[in-house]
Amino acid sequence: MSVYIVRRLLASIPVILMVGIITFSILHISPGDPAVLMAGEEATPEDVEKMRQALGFDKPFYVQFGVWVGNLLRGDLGTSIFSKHSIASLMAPRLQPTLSLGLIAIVLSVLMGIPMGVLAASYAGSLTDRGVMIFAVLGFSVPVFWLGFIFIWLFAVEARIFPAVGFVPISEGILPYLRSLTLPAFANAIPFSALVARMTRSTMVEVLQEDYIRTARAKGLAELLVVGRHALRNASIPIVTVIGLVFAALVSGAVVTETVFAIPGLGRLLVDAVVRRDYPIVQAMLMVTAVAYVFVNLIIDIVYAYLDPRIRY
Amino acid sequence: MKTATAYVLIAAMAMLLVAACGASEDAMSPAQPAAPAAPAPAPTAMAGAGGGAMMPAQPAEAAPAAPAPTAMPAMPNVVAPIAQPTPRVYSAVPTPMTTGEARMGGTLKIVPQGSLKSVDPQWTTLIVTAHVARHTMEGLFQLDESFSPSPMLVDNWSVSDDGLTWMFDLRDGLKYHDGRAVTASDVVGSFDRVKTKAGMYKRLMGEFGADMTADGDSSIVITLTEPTALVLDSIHTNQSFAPYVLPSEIHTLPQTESSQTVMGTGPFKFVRWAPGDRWVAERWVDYAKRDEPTSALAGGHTVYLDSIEWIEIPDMASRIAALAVGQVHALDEFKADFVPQIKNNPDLNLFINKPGNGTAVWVNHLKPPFDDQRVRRALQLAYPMERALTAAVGDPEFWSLCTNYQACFTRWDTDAGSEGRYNVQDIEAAKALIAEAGVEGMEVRVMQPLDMPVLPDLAAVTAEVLTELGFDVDLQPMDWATLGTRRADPELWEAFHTWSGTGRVLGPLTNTSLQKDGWFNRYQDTSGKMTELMNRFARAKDAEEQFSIWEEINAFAFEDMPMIRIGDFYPPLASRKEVKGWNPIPFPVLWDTWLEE
Repeated sequence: MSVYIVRRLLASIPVILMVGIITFSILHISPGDPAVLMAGEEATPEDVEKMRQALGFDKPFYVQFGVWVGNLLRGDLGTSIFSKHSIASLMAPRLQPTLSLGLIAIVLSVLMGIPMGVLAASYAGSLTDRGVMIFAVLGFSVPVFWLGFIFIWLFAVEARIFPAVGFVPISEGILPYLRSLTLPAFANAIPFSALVARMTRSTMVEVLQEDYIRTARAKGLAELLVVGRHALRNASIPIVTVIGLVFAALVSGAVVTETVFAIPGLGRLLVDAVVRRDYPIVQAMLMVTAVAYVFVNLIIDIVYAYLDPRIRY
Repeated sequence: MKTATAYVLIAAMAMLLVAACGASEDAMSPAQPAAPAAPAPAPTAMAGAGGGAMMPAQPAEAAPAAPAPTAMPAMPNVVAPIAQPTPRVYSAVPTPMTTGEARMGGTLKIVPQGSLKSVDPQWTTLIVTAHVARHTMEGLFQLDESFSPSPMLVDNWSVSDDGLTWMFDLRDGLKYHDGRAVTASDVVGSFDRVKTKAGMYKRLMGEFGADMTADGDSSIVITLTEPTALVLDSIHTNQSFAPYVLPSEIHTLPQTESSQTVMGTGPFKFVRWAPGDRWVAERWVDYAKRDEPTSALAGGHTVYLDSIEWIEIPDMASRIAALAVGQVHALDEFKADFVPQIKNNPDLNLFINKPGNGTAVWVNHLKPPFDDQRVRRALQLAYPMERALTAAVGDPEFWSLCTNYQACFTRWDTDAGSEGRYNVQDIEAAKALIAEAGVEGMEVRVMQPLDMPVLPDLAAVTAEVLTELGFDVDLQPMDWATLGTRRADPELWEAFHTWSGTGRVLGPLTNTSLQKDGWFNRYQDTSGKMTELMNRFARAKDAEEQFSIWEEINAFAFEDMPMIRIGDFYPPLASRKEVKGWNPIPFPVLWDTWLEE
């Protein structure tokens, strides 16, 4: 296994390098010039050129790319063009909100999605099944921002139970921290729980028709054990895949939720940077996202081996 | 397993969709000015898109008189500052006035219109940066309620008999927030940093040969090669890349390098900035307050609040919700669409920024078809101003037609030259001009910034009008950043829209769109008449003469059309009832404001 992990990690290097080249290229050929934005409304072409020189954008593409890769290898993600803060210092305070939101949302997704999926599969074709699937279709179809606004209106403006916006760090108390994350976490979790529910149902329906399930039932095993121990474990691989990808998406920034709930997380950092053409931030964020996906995929593969002993690497 | 693969694909697509939705959601929230404000159009503090800074009119009374210069000789070349007439009283809603006694203490939380990207007002013109500067920094002169420059760091000043030498003495005991004394060399250094950027100061140097030097530690001398009444108008802080007085570690930085330090003499002391989240300032206990009553940015400011927090909430609806539940106390400018929610909530006050923002169709003067005055005239004759403003803003309470090229509801009000040219919607006459110019069927590219408020709808209306006139219209959707880049290249566009802010109120000299080659419209002034009028305006002896020349400028603008004037619109602001003393028009500053328990 350890050889496999090392091999996978080495294999991820060209992947990440390709991501770097592609994102760097796309950003530099995309319209919108940060030098123009920074030079201001009254800037002359000469002002813009000076600004471009000051930012190093007048240098050839390969020189800019080389400088960026060199800095990256030294662990330097770069500096924001606009705020002049180091990107690491901009990302650090945003990790807690984004990771907190992502983790809580994923836990809620799993806690809601898997039981619903199992229930639907166990009573496939019944009203319960149809009810769960209606929730799944609706939950996955409803835009997150709409859910967010509805939650704010219901639970913040009308009921005054939760704050409408903002994030409270855990250092200011666990209760305020959880209160600030409840609405955004549910808004994030509902679509993904619907996805997990559908995935769980679908694979469980297949597994529940296997011979070994019939055998287990024939032995007189309690239905709970048949479903929970024999069926669910064997149905879990695709479920884990989905959960892993959802996790990678959430930790790299739940842009919509962070925007609606004014949570200063990584997603907003990325969107602000795109709007401003703050290239170094966009590049750094895309690299972090790529690395997150690579590692999540690796973890998923390791979990496969744990869940299914037949899988060996 | 096929099912699993399919779901994984669905999940991946869903995540991409979520990311895409997120981007557009955020983009619709003013940035800022860029947003977006004025976005860039309006996000600029003083120099809006049109180069003008705009300031909302004050529903107010006469401003307190500023101390007069110690010497102001009457002479042929009068160099006295031109007194600004008291603004007329305009307010769409009564200003919620304060009753009861002011109370010390508390933290006021306010939401800016966009995201703060830099704390250096000499590096960017973004309005969100101007908010930081207005609270923490001060300049030699600052604008009062009548938009007249009023002394702030200056104690008294004098002018030589020939009007060529101006001497300014700094007030005694001025200190920065870290306790260092403010020196005359700081003033000279601060102006030097922005000498090629600050709109009016640049003109003072270029046209009147201004040279600023320090005379000892507390006096500044400006020498001119030609007398002008524009000196005070050129050294106040309401101009692009504002000449605030800053300590040496900031003013010695190149203007192209953004300072990371906020250090000034203002009534609030900067505490911290969490980019993308908030910036915080607290009452500066050693603030050297002036004796005069406060008046907009001028006069003696009293700080009642312990601290202020400017909290970024990108989504408009979320801002309204946060205000409604009391998580924040006030909102800077927001979309007029949300006004009913403010009006229907008895806990909230509504303010309307009048004269707000001015908008127009900016056309490319360097290329056909708009290099031809007949084609510009055709667009002017055909344009449905009311329909455009209704589409873009909605409720007529928040926009108005405007027959002057500066700002309505200000001292620039005039309809000179507009009769028969503005909002006449004469399609047949317009088509005849198009035929005469021989440009039917020509391609016209209209840039449409979808991430900005107001502007996409104006672009759609313009595209519709141009199509009706027989052009082959290419309505190009893009984001504001792309538009900002493309408009710098006259080969890439024919028309776009933006708006100009507070600077409009300061007069035509700051309106770069009206100057030859002055802004992205690259107005050519082929007759030279506009340049001649501007030069006369710069040398006017008094406000009356200024206005007379301004009427000529306005009439000529309607004749030659540097851009096609559409009208003005007025962004709303809001606060909770417990916020007392706050009058955010024309500037949402937080001194003389307190929180009632």
